[in-house]
Parts: sequence; C-alpha cells; structure tokens
Amino acid sequence: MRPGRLIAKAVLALAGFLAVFPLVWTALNALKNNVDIITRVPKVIFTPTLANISYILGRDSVLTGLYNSAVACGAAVLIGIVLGLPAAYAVARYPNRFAGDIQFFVLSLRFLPPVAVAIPLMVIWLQIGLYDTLPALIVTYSLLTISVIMWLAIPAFQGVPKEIEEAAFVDGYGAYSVFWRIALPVAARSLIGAIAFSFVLVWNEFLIALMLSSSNAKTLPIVASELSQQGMNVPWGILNASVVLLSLPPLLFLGVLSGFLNSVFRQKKS
Amino acid sequence: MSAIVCSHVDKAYGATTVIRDLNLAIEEHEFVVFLGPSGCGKSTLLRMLAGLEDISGGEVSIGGKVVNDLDPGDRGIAMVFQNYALYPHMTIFDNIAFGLKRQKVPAAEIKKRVEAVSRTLGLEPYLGRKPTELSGGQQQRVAIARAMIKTPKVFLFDEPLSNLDAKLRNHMRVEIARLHQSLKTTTVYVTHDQLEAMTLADRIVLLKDGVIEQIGSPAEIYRRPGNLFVAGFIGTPNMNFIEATVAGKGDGWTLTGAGTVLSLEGIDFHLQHGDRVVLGIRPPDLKTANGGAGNILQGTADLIEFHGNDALVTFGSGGKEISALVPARECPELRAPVRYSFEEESIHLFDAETGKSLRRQQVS
Repeated sequence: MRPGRLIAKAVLALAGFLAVFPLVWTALNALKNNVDIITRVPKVIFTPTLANISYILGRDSVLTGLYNSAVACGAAVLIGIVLGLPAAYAVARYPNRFAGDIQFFVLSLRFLPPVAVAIPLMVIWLQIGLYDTLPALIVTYSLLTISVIMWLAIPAFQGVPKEIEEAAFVDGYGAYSVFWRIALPVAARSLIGAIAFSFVLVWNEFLIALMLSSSNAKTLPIVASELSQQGMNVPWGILNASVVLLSLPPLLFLGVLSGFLNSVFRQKKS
Repeated sequence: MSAIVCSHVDKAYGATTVIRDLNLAIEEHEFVVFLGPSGCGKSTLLRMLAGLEDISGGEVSIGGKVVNDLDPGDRGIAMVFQNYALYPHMTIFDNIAFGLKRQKVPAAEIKKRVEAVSRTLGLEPYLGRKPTELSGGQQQRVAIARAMIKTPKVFLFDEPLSNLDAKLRNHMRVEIARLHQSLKTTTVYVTHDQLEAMTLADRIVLLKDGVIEQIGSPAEIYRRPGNLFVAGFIGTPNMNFIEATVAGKGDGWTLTGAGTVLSLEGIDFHLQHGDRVVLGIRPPDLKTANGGAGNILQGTADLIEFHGNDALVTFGSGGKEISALVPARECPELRAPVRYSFEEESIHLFDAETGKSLRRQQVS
C-alpha cells in the first residue's frame, strides 16, 4: 500500500473512532454501577447492571417525557410531510413570482435564534390558553418540520428530470398523479433524508420545549436534563441510561426509513 | 384529411417571440422532420404539438380536432424524448405499461401488448430490469416501445438519437425508418442532424428563428434550396458561395466575381443587368477540368482532406475559399494549381440582398 493511502486510512480510522467512541462509552456507562463509573482508571471489564435502565423506565416523568416527545415529534413530522412536501413540489415545479420569497420566508424561521422565536410563541400560547399542552408543542414543532422539509425537498424535486414528468403527462396522467407516482418515488431518497433530518431536529430540540412546557408537556430532553440538576451527586449511570433512551428513537426511525428505502429501491436481479 | 394542421401558430415567452405565424399541414402516414440549427424553435414547436408548451396564438389540430386546450394525454400522441425520460423507479415492463394502466386496460391485455411490443423491439430479456441497468440504445428502444404501445395517432420524436454514439445512432435510425414503414403512423421528428433528416423524412420542414424557411422532400430541399440559408444549411460538405455581378451578354449572361468571369445561358433564372447575386455550387458538382472550354474555377490547392473514396480540395480563387469534392485518384498535390469546371444545371443563384433563390418556378 502506498504511504498516502496508509495515512488516509489512518485518518479515517481516527475520525471514525472519535465519532463512535463517546457513543459506545455512554452505552457502556449506562450498564455500570456508579462505583464502576467513578474510577481513576476507566473500566472496560465490569459486572453489568440493568439497575440504571430499570430505574429510568420506572420513573413516570421519563415515561411521560418519552410519550410527549414521541407524540409531539411524530405529529409534527407527519404535518411537515403532509404540508411541506406538496408545498415544496409546487415551489419547485410551478414557481410563481413569490416562489423565491416563500423559500426565504420559510427558512427565516431558522435564521433567528430559537429564543427569539420561542418568547413570542410562549406569549401566544399563554394568551390562547394552550401553554404547556401537546397541541401547542405540535403546532410549534410543525413550523420547524415544515420549513426544514420544504427547504430540503425543493432541490430534491428540482432534481427530478423534467422530461420524466412530461413523459407521464403524455402518458395521460394529471398533475396530482405525476406528483404521487413520479415525483415522490423518484425523489424519495432525498426526501427521506429531509424527513429524517426534520425528525432529529425536533427530537433533540431543547430550548423551545423548555419555554413552552412547565409540567404536563415536558419532552424527553427536558426530563433528561433535569436528572443532571442534582448538584455534585450526579447519578452518572442513570444519566447515561437516559441518554441512551433519548438516542434510540432517532436511530430506530432512521433504521426503519432506510429499510423502507432498501425495499423500495433494491435492484431486482434477474 | 391532414393528421396535423398548424394555422397561424405563435409562441412567445414574455416579449420574446420564438415562433411566428407558422402554417403547416402534415398528411396522414407522413414522416415529417423539423430541421434547423439550435434555437430555431423546432423543439418548442414539437412540444406545442405534444401539449407540453402553451400555444400563444393560432390553432393546432390533430386528427381534425383542435387541441389547443387539450392535455397531452388527450391528444392521441406519444412522444420519445432526447434523454429517454424513462421512469427510473419502475421496471421496463412497468415503464412500457404505464400509459395503458392509465387507460384502465385490463391487466391481461396489458401483458399481451407489452410482450408484443417488446418482441418487435427485442426488449423481452430486459422486462424485469430497471432503466439504469440498460445501455443507452436499449433505453431509447424502451422509450420507443412506451410510445408505440399506446397506438397513437401521431408519434413525436424530440432528437431521439442525439445522446447515442455514432454507430448506434445509425443503427437506431434504420430501426426507426423500418418501424415507420411497418406502422405507418404519422410521425414528427425533430433533429439538428441533416443526415437523419435526409434519410428519414418524407418531407423536411427547415426552420430558422421560428420561421419556416422551406418545406419539401429531401431531394427538393437539396436540389432546389429556396434561399441562401437553406442552401448553406443542407449538404455536407457545405455549398460554395461566390458573390458576383450580372451583366448581359448577347443571348446569355456573364457573372463576374471571385477573380473569374463565368458565362451562363441563364434560362432557369430571373436575371437582370447589374444584379448583385450569390452563386452557389456544391463541392461534388465541381469536376476536374480537362479541356479549356466551359466555366472554370481555378486556384492553388491550399488544403486537401482525404475522405477515402473522395478528397475535398480547398483552393483560393480571387480571395475566396472554394471546395471541390473529387474522386481520390484525381486528388492533386498540395499547393499544385487546380482547375475545376461545372455544368450550368448544377448551379444555384440567389439574390445577394434578400437571399432568395432566383430560379424560375418550374411549370409542371
């Protein structure tokens, strides 16, 4: 092997290690007793315990947070898909003179620091009387998912060759059929990425959730952060277990999506 | 009844007019080729026939029915695109069947028809594959199959061969010609390649800047170009053009230009004393001169391009580059003096100002 390739591989391996190691360490720590975590020499071999995980899963606040997160993020992503994808397709394929402004406006929500968006929203929800409820969180998160999905889906739809859609028109299909049967499946790969990204974004969202919930609608990131607010006596094992719990849904979501992708796009071997 | 009629058709994008007052009638079973340089509006015109572009003015009818406001699917047309435009997420079978599914044709009949069409085009082994697994030529054949299966009134081809390599292009050209012979479907075919136009067309519609320059059979367009543009566009190697001044001389005419004086009987042309004209002559019509009689163009061979059977000899005459396509065995040495003669029947004369042909209309 040439030295250049060797160095490249070494750099790659190092980067991979840097990316994966903290995750592995977190997962390991979730299975350790506190004494095994707070050691001068990090322990790789230890007696695993499920105490942290069962503690986490046994707490109502965590389960409620998990439920709130799942409902708020799931619903927001669904709304983002239902409203964002057709909107993106319209902007991409049937642009009018406002198309550029629409694109800019949609993204402008993401330019602002979240606090700037969260405070007015908090006031609005307080006035309407929906503060600290899931509907408020769902609507707020939908703003994020719609904007992200639209922003990422517009180039995805623009990437679908126009002639393919025209061929479908010539084959007798109308604009809506072309969207369903041609544009969506052809752009699916990039669209799935956009959807997954929007899900991860709202799942990990912290600040807006913090400002829009006080007790009932707390999402998992809020609950997890509360576990660390116990001064010097940080229950490291429990914290790690909650982090694992927090990381699983996006991973599952991506796994399901990519599995779905593979089943749709697997090349048929004859 | 004409299959397609365009009357006073216009197309404008905002202030830019792409097609201006175009009138054209295409007969049933005819193979018509729209030919022209890029940007002449030929593809736009085809897309207007297909219903993929709005018609800004005038009327288009297909099969006796005005189609201006009909959707592409309701016009009884099928189209083959330059980049094949196959549906990438569907198998070849589904690609071909997609249009029939829309027409709610029963599945058993779809299967039968897809199999029949793919047998004709040799696509049977690929029906289960995806488009990306096929070569360019195979993909274009799928696109043709997709068009054929709908048994349309009109086939529209938009530069279908320009993405293929030269050898495959020749092959597919022959296949398209055969297909038209057996199906006899009215066909409109857009290309910028004059070889395709000449070999495929019953009639060629030569366009420039959205205006029809000439309509005619390949032979007519080649032998009787109606103006300078047509004369220069059709024919490889290009026609030689010599600017000249006409003078009357007894019962004939003399043309003075490019350092020579040529004498003509001029009975085929409208000529007047003092006219400024452009004389056109195709390189194959220049013959190596043996004697001293007749009209002679002479000079020094500057460039010799060997083509195999023939050689293209370019020589300067009175500051003008002239090319002659001569049999290879008559090929002169580089820088040798050359003399070429021509028959009066083989020349074309055009008005230097308007570019129009000065040929008298043939009374038939």
